[in-house]
Amino acid sequence: MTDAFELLMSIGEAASIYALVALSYMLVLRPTGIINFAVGEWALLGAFLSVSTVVTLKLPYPLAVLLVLAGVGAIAWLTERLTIRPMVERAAPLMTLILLMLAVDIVYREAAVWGYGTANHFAPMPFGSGRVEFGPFGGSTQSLVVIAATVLVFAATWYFFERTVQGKAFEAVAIDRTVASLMGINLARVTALSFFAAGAVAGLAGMLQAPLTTASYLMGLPLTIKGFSAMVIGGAGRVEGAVLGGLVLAASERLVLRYAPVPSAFAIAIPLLLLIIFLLVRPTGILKAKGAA
Amino acid sequence: MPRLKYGWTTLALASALAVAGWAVPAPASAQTVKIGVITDRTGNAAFYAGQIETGLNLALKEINAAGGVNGQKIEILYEDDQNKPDLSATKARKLVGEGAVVILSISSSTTTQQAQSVTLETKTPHIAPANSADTLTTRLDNPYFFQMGPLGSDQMRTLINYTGKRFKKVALLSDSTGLSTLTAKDFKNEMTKAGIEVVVEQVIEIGATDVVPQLQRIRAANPDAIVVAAISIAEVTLFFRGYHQLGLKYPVLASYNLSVPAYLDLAPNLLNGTFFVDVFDPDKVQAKQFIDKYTAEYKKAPFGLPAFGYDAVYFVADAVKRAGSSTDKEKVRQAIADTKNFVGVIAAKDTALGFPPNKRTGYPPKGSVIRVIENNKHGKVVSSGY
Repeated sequence: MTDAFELLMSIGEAASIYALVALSYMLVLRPTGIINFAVGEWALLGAFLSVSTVVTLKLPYPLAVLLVLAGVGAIAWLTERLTIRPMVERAAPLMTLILLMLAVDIVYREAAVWGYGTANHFAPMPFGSGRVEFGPFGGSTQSLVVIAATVLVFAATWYFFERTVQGKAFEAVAIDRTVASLMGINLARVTALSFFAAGAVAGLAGMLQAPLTTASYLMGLPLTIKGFSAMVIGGAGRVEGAVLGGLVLAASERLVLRYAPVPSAFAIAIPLLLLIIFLLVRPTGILKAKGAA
Repeated sequence: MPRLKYGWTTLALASALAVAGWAVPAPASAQTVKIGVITDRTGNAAFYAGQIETGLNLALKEINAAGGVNGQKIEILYEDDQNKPDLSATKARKLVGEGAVVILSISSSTTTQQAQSVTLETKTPHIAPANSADTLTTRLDNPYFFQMGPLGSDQMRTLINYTGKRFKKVALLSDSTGLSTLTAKDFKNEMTKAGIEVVVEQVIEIGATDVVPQLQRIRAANPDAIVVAAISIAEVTLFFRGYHQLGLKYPVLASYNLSVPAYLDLAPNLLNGTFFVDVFDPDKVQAKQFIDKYTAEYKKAPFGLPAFGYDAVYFVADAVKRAGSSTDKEKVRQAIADTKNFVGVIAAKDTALGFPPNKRTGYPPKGSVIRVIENNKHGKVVSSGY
């Protein structure tokens, strides 16, 4: 039984990080149609910013969280203002915008190497690195921090979309940009806000992961792949899809690693395998978008 | 005024020459011993190469302060190959053109292999101070190339010998990088030959966020010890976190990778009790002196990598001195090949570097040691050679 409870914590922790990255993808994808492959690098910037604020400047953790959210959010917002918007104004096709973000992705990574070097950086766990037991559950304090922070983020996201006018405007733009704009919704503002929020969420994912894996300039790409897989599995049309996709992905990876009679190297293929299956068989993901045919 | 005029003329002439593509020789450099160094400052071997550079620079400073070699100062010419093999060959050619009498390759083994095509063609002595790939001296019959670093196979034998004396069944852990996969395969073959049973093999994926399932499988197999062949810093750190999170008690034995002190900062106090292969015995006289000098210069303690660089410069200085020339590359090559019993900072006590007839690997086969991590520091040597 010990094994099962430890695994549940492990699945919860990984699913949380995958879900946050998937949510970041979704926040940009839904109103703009851009599949933003720079999310992993936003997470990387969040991880490095957390090293600067927590380790170098020794700021209190809550303040560091706010600075990471605002910092990566601002970088994402600036990216939209300086690169995406001028292209949209010149009526660039969607594929151009996706490729543009891939290029920006490289700029982020090289900038991180320039600022922080190629060495791995230590990021401490805010509540110590020991083992905690929580009833029958066993894990690190960081597992609990990651899961709790993710629950908070998704609760806030749910509130935003379901209970605020701004959130409704987002939904409207996601359903039909032209009609939404005819209804008086400011498209540029929605796009700018979506980039800011997506940057903040991805930055938080990086900050939460850094104490587990250290912060390194190579940490972005795996998150880009895992988050994308989680979004496709869960369904890109609904916020709940990010959570569900993250859970399915994390659980299948870990259950195969733990119980399947195959070499553990095989588990590397699971996200890609699930990605292919879902794209072929159920491209909408498990949860279809509201109002979708 | 005439002097000034003359100065301008010289400058103009020099510029014209430079534009025309001729090198303008700096007057002072004709009297220096030029060592070309191919390093990596921007690629994924940059961390390792940077450490070796600190040792090179310290030795350079010491030797020049003591008057240099045969009355000439040593000069190091650095070139960055970004850990790219094709670029490494180009940089080797550039260094030969600039008059390097010896080239040191401190980037990764693959780039060193490629640079050899140039050193063979231009008959330039070429030394790899730290590379450990077994094939560097066998793939190409290049009489100008010499390897000072310990062979991977000798390090593995040292670790397996120590493991085999104490444990009969082990878990083998690697990560999904190509190098770690190969290392794990070699480890398994050699351990099986040595009568050690590998009861469970686990791989950590690059980018994983935890290793709980893998460690549970290891726990289920109940080995006597865990042998770590993983080399990626984030994933090795992840292993030590998971090990403590699950409260495991199995002894941990690890490759030379664990001699990088960064782990002590990235997973503070989680590595205590871990055994690892090293080239550095802090109780050796030469190592003690090196630790003092290095700490005075850089305000931090050295480890194996800086020592490789430090030894390399003294090694070259010794060869150039015996060759009696800083420009005759053939004489320098012969002096390197004739080196016997060079005692430097690296390698176990009572061993020495040297090149047996017809061999171009100079590290003493039994020169690797096993050390244990104590109180979050690289501790004493517990075993030496195999």
